[in-house]
Parts: sequence; C-alpha cells; structure tokens
Amino acid sequence: MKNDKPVVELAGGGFKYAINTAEDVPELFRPQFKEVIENIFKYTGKTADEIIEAGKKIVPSKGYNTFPELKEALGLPGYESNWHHIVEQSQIKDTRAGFASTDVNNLDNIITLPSGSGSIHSEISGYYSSIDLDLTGGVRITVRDWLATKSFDEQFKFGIQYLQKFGNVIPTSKGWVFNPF
Amino acid sequence: MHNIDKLIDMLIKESIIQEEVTKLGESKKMSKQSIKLYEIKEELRAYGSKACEKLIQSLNIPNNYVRFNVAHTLLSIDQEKARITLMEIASLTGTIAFKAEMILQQLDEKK
Repeated sequence: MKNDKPVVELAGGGFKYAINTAEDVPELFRPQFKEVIENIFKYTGKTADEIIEAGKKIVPSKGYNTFPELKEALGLPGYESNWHHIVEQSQIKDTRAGFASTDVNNLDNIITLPSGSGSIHSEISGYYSSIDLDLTGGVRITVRDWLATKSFDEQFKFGIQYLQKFGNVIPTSKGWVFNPF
Repeated sequence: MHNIDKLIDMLIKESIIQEEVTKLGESKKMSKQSIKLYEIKEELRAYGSKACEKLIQSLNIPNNYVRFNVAHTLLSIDQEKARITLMEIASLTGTIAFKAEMILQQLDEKK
C-alpha cells in the first residue's frame, strides 16, 4: 500500500505545498531531505551576502589537513557529480593566496556539482583556469591568479556568486547543497 | 586599423566562439577568445562616439555573449545604455551572466 504521508509540508504565499516522497526517499534520509527542501524554499532568490550569512549559522565548519581526508569524511559526491571547493584548493599554495588547508578543505567550503564534459563543474573550472581580461582589467593572468590577491571572504563570495548563476546554493546542517536551474 | 563595420563583424564572430568554448569549459580557447575580443574592443573604443550608433544597433543581436561584448565596449562611450544591457544579462544564467555582474560590481566600486 502506498504511504502518502507528506515528508515535507510548506505553507506560504497563499498556497500549501506538500511533497509525498515516501516511496522515493528512504526513512533514514527523510530528516535531511526535509531540511533541504525547506531550505530550498527559504533561500532561493537570496543574494550571495544573505546566503553566506545564513551559511555561517547553518553549515558546519570542520577543517581537514588534506582533500582526501575531507573526501573520506564526506563520502561519495553523488551520481555524475564531483566535489567542488568554493574557494579553490590552488589557493593553499604559497605562490597564490597561501590560505590554510583547514580553511579550504573544510565542510563549509565544499559543494557537489554536476560533473563531466559540458557540465556546470567543467564550465566553472574552465573559467577559473582561463584568462578573462574583462575581469582583470587587461592584465594577462588567469582568473585563479587574479583571485589570489583577494581575501578568503572575497574569494568565497566570488565563488558563491558564480555558482548562483547556475543554480541555487542552499545552506543545510550537513553542508552546502547545489540545486541547478 | 580596421573600420567600424569590420570590427563589429569580428566582435560578433568571436563572441559566438567565446560562447561555445566557455560552455565546454575549454580554458585555453577561452583565454584566446578573451585576448582577441579585448583587442577588438580596444580598437572600437578608439573610434569613440563614431562607433556609438552601430554599437547600439548591435545590442539587439539575440546572443548574450555578443550583447555582453557590445555593451562592455560601449561602457566608455554610452555608459547608461551599456549598463541597462549588462543588468539584463546579469539577471540571466551561466558564465556570461556572472561576467556581467562582475563588471557592474567593479563599476559600482569605482564610484
């Protein structure tokens, strides 16, 4: 018999919205699923500053010395997805920003993105590796090298703003969630 | 030095290539396009107000990479019209929307 008890009920804006996902979402994952759906409704359309502020309160901050250690804690990124650092790993290098590994390889600086050829992850990574003279005011350096002169917070905001052009960036108690357009 | 019509044709052609390589994430080709387009835009800007009318006409071309590059060129000639187009593009999705948002942000920071 179909269990049609709503996992999520949302009310507001003159309508009530319920998601009956009992068949698709295993019981174990329902609390997290509920939070993601609720936060998609709550944070969709917010500015990068608002999202970042909410993230500071909601997303756990736990740093790791290396990316493999962080990946071990995170588990798999999901079907056809890859982990993406909001502030890039390359900024740990002394020749770039020289940020602490525990700040970059941190639960609050990581998100999964659709990956593969022609994907969001590929477009975003390609842009960071490219020279954009419009951004750098004619200076022939990559976006990544241009960012190296900026603070961690500035780079983080840049990363969130860029992601927001491809989907909604949602803070949850388990980490950032990307919901593509 | 190329004439205005030739430069606008080049701008359109290279912008369309820029869109293709950006969506594929091909960073080396993206860099090449950025450099080519920067040089074309510099040449167009050197014409100043003489290039204004044709640039404004080109803002109607239905390709957001073309519109972005035309508006970016136009910034030093007719900032108001350029800003309106950049704001429209910034409200869209993808890398070109982000580039428009960054240009507008940098302009606001200079104020």
